[in-house]
Amino acid sequence: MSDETRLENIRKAEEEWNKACEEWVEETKIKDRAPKTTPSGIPLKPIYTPLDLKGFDYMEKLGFPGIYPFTRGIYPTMYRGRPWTVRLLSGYGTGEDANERFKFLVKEGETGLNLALDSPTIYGYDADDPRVRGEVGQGGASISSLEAIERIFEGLPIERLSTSLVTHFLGLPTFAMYVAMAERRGISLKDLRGTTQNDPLWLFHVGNPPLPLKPSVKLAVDLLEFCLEHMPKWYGINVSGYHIREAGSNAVQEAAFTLADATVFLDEALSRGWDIDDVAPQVSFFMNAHNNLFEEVAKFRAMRRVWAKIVKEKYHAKNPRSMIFKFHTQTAGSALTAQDPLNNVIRATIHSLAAVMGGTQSLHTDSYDEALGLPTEKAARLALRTQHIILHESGVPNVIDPLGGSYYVEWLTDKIEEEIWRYFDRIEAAGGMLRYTEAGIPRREISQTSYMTQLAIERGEMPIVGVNIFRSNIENIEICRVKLEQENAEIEALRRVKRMRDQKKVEEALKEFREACLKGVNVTPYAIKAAKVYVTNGEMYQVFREVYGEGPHLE
Amino acid sequence: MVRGSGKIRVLLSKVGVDVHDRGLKVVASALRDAGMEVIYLGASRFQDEIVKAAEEEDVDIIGISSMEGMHHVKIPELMRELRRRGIHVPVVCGGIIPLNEAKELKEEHGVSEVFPPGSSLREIVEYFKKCAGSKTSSTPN
Repeated sequence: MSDETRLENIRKAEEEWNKACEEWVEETKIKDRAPKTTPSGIPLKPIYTPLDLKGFDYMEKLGFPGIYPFTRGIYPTMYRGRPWTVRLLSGYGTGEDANERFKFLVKEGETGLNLALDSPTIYGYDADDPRVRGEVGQGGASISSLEAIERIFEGLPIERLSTSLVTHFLGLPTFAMYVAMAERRGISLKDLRGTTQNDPLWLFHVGNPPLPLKPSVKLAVDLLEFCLEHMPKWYGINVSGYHIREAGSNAVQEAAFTLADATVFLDEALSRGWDIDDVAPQVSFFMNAHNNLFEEVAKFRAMRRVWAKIVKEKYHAKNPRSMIFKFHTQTAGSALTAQDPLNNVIRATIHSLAAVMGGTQSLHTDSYDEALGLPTEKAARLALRTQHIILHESGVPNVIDPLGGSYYVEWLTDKIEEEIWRYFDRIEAAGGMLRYTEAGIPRREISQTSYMTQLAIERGEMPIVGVNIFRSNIENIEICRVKLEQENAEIEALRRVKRMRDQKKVEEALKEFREACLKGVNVTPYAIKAAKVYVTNGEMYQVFREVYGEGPHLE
Repeated sequence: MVRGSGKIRVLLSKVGVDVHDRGLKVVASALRDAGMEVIYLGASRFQDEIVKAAEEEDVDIIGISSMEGMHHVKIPELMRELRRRGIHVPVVCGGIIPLNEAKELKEEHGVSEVFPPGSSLREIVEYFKKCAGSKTSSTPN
């Protein structure tokens, strides 16, 4: 039988089935109540068949894991060889608190470190700055100086474990302190393994950036370039879609804006004379896993295929390692509910499954209490065990890309890819992602989608258990709350550093750092030099602000 | 500042460097859809910027959102500074604020209302409408 005949038979059968559906509804009065679209607004049919994949070319669309276009996974053996890195985001209170939690998580079986910073550190204000009183150590660890980062990592084997520094904006000062710490321990930079988030662009799409757009990109690529030269096992940039999604975008917007953001860093590095095959292997991604299981899996698969095509076709990379879309996933904090918080265990499990079936390289699972505060030890351990159960009991990791070949998932992967390319056409027409960002288009779209989502929840069109359906009165759970005494201890530690350090060396290092900023050379070596003599994060940021100006206040 | 439209004027901000303003933006959209004039300062704003904007923009009501847990320090400080400068408009808070701490903000620091997670936009809009009419409703400390 020819393929045409086979498809014709399916088409006829589908017609019959359609009729059967109508009769069923007529007879039973059971109407089709399912949503008509995915959360990204992609129209959904009730069922998918080979008719939806007409002309589907297996080798062109999928191929095999580890081989272009990498749709099925970036490594040949995926989790059969090595599981994803189990990496829980942590950090709060004092350096000692953060250290204790890290040690606890490592003892309980996490395989990589994932450091959260507090907002003052991200925005470049030291712990002792009166403007950030009350915020020190609240949303992550406070890192004002080398002394603070040394307390956080005291006794942790960073020569063996990889570390992700979730710096949220510029990675530079925190990275410089981490490198200074490693050198003091006698670890060669060549062997240091990890990632700096170091993606400033998302803060122009969401929230408010501390520095202007172009200098931010410049400084981010300075760090990337330093890694290209000295740190082959360190990802200099980790482009973030996570925050875009948390701010309320849908899956397609998250995918499109993140991939487009990544091209900005590639372009900047290439303009400095680097080859695409030097740069692209050291760019990684940080994605969100949200509620709609299949749309999330399709998103990850589509992103792999699109990134491979961009790097190969647009940037003419030759090395397959340049084309692989490597990503860390964090489960969606914004999908957690403060109401009935134990339900979040189930949500985080579904999100984690999406990440694993989507082929993630590393994973943070949210704790059930994260809509209310930072994770307690008990909640963090359960999040860790969620990954352990998926890894060792569910059988999900045993077969690579287990949803590959599902008519629905393949169709949806294609659809998301199409939508991403549509965004790329618009971005290109606008003159590239920098211009598109300056025009504030992603920003407006994200807040619009966020508002529409909230209205859909309030109208009951988007059901959330415990919020607009199945509400229960649940007694309060234990919450981790950082106290002022912890903040005071951190401030006191910084004051000691400032008293003890060699002020002359500090001033010299700051002078050189400022001159490097003014000259437009790569500032990373100067930041590392400054970090070694205890120049603080706030002092470095103050130089940035004086040289480059304050970031714009965006609506 | 020319005040001609007769619309309720609202100032919305976070205080400090906490970047999470998704909820605040949603509230801004809802208040605008309800016909109010929203001056949106958004994320990463220090106290002096908020006080200055409240003075210059002659707002009827201020909304402050907190997520990372800074409210126990930052909101009382802001309240004191607003009252010291003679700004007695109602201040409404929202976000991740535990119930006992919300009670403290209201009883001890003069915050008019605290909207916890799960509050509907309709409730919030209604409250802003009701409250904005009574600019001096909350008494100075």
